[in-house]
Amino acid sequence: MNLPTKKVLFGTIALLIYPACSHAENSQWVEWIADVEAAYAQVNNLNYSAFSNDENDDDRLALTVVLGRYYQLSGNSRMHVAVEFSTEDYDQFSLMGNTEVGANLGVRHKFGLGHNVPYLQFTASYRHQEVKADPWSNNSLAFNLEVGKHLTDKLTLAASLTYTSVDGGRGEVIVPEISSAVFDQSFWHADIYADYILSANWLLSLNYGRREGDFHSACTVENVNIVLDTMQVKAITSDTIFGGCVYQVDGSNNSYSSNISYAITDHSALNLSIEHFRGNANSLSYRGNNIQLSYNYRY
Amino acid sequence: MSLTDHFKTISHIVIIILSQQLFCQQLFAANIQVSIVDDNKEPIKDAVIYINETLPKLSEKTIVIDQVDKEFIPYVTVVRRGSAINFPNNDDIRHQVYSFSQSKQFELPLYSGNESRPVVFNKSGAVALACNIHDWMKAYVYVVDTDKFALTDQAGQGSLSNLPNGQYEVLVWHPELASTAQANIQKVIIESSDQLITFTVPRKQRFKAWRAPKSINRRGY
Repeated sequence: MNLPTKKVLFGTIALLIYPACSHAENSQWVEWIADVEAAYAQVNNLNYSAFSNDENDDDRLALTVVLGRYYQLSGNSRMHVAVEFSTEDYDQFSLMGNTEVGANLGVRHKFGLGHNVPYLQFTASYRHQEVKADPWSNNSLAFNLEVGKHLTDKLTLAASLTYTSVDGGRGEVIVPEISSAVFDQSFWHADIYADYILSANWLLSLNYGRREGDFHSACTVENVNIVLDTMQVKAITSDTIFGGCVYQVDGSNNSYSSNISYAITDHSALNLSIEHFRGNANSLSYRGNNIQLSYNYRY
Repeated sequence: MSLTDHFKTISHIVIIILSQQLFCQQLFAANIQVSIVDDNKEPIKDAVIYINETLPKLSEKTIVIDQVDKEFIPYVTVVRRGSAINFPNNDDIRHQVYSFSQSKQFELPLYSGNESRPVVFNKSGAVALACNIHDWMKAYVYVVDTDKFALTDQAGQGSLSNLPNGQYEVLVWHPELASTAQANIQKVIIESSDQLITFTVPRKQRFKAWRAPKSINRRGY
């Protein structure tokens, strides 16, 4: 872990401990967190290729369970501690299948009393992802700062900024002068969210996200040669999932997504999400679409 | 005639007058059956129906608004002016109940169980309740100056019972009523028989903050 990451981590811990101590008299463990999501997705350009003849699509099944608890620090502040387990299975590219274990710790502060009062939330999370294709396995550490506000009874806006540092394994060296640590990455993610209540049972959510920093892409060896000729590749290794190479570049990505939620009860909902993403790194562009249907339960 | 006999005679007269009063009142008492629907003829549940009158002194009563599974129960409560409301918390977590309404502004800091003090509502009008921890928790108290009031049921129907003959103004209120004051008032004359009146009122839906789970964000690129 590098020095800036350590500073952020220790700053986070201080931020979490300070309110916990300052409101110790009133603080108390309160609600349990038990969230479950079962999702089916159609993933377009799963390998995030810049070449249309290389794009691979697949179907994904995912199950996620989050368990944790809130700690009420005061009338305006609460902390949460949670562990997350998830598993993903792919229809064609089964080596992309993975299991993930993570933990996250967050503090949410509301700036006063009332429905329309803004909030600020800080979350630190750590995840270990075990991918069937071993070189893709990684550990990641992320810090997220989110601010949000109910603008009206129907409309809620939020914005967040996330820094993620990924520590991945090293693959086979295929270009001697270029690193093979494709999955050692760091990047920033900025998001804007809007939730609009359509009726008592229907919620429409829109999200714009922009990622800046490292990302990886997999394609055939022929196309990798084009990539190597046209841009600065930070790392490259062979890939067993898509049968070519996987490389890392520095670039940006914009994603636009919408989600429609149907509340079955106060504790369960069906969600349909559609996402379109477009990425750029030097002269190459990457694009794709995802669609996901999920059943969500919250205790 | 002795003083005692005079006393007996007067007592008999008083008893007869009181009995007649009571008899007449029961004979001429009637009910107003009220039905409330919106523009789409859908019944409006939990609407407050009351008589427009200001009684000089109202008997005080303590009412309960419960908190169960992070919701207020009931959603709408109608009380006489001067009534106190207890807000017990039957969840195993803490709530922070507040209101910014003109008719009553108060805050019950974080509490669990029966720790909160009763809140007295001594000004008529609508009071919106909320919880600062759980934004979706919403409920309403409507404070009236009369003891003749009712709430509509699932079918949008309610009844004002045992009203003596006379002319009344019947008013309705609901959190989602979007109509002008005129549409919320009807004049009714009671002449020994029950009256059936229907209010057709425009409705403006109000929404609680979203509570059901959204998709867990599995960020890709």
